[in-house]
Amino acid sequence: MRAYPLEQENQIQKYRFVYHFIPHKYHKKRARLLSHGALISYSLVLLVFAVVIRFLPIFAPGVLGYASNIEVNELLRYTNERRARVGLRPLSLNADLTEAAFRKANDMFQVDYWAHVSPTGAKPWDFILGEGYDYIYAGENLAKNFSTSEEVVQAWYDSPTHRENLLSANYDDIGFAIVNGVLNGYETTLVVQMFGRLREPRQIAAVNEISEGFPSTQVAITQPEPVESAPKVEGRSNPVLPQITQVEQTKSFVDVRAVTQSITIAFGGFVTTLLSIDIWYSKRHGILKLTGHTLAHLAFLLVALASVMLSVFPGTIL
Amino acid sequence: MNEKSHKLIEYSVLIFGVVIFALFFLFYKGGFSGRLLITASAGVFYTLWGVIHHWLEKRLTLEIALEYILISFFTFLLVLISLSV
Repeated sequence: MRAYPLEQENQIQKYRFVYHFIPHKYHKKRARLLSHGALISYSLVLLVFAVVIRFLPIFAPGVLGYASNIEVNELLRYTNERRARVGLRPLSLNADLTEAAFRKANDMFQVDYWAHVSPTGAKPWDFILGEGYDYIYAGENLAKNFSTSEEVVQAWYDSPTHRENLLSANYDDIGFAIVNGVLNGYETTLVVQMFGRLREPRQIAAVNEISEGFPSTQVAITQPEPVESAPKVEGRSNPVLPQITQVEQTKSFVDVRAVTQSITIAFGGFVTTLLSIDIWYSKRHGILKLTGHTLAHLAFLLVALASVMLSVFPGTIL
Repeated sequence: MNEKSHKLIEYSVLIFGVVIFALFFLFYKGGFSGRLLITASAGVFYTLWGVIHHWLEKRLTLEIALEYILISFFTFLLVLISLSV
């Protein structure tokens, strides 16, 4: 015997909390948290978040940023460690290549592009030659939005085309730039690595010339802020960075990468979990719903999430 | 052609399409906008697949079409946010 009439019992069932997470046997609908209204709500939250991270750097620069811990000394060490593994000689940090790398990074921020060749047609070689480094071989690797030096070098190492540069016997010198700024409207940390071998090797006296004259604080051209420590540099006795003025180091309040990862994992993970529960529960209880294909939704979402995770985390290389 | 073969073809089209878009996305060497365009195209493809699939099954409703649009849009926003870093 029923405690309530069937209609009333259905009403009670309808509002049971558990149906927020599992499909309803009688109503033949998905979990409430997978309803159209719920999906619209998630999308609105994501949209607001996307707008905030897009425009916050414009209205409140320095609020969003990266908790990156990338240093030139470490980039050089990891690069040379990987070269040593295959019996190659270590590369020497070169002031001209370092400055060319800075100029390239700053050009990317100023012209707003992420590519080896700028929209104005400037190639990596133009920056290298512009610093008076007359090369016989030269190369460039780019990275953005990594957290650590090792992640950057590992990503280059894992990519066949970038590894070709990293492990080339044709190079003697290397230069790095680590620069923070706003690219495409988003806070970005760029790492530029430039390789080279001089057409005519330097005199021995010049090669031994080592300077520690690099600025140890952050420097910037308007937006970009190189986060350079003080590495030993070969090449110039007094490497200065024209047009680059020293600025105070700005600490951001929010690590945009961590927040973005959390949001993506939270929302993506939540919806994929609910879809998985829907498939399992519906099959177990033989619930036939008049909806789209849950398995197709799940597959589409998972492939998209996997693709984006593989391509942008821990960072992007070019 | 029986119903089973129809379904096999339809699902093969979906898997093939999604994998192709994923490969494009992963190996695309351009910037932010290009990847967003690939994601948007994948969303349009998925919505069209859903609509055509349900129409062929003769159970297409406005609610179902909206469901595919919402899933595609939700996925697009997740990718947009992830690409913002």
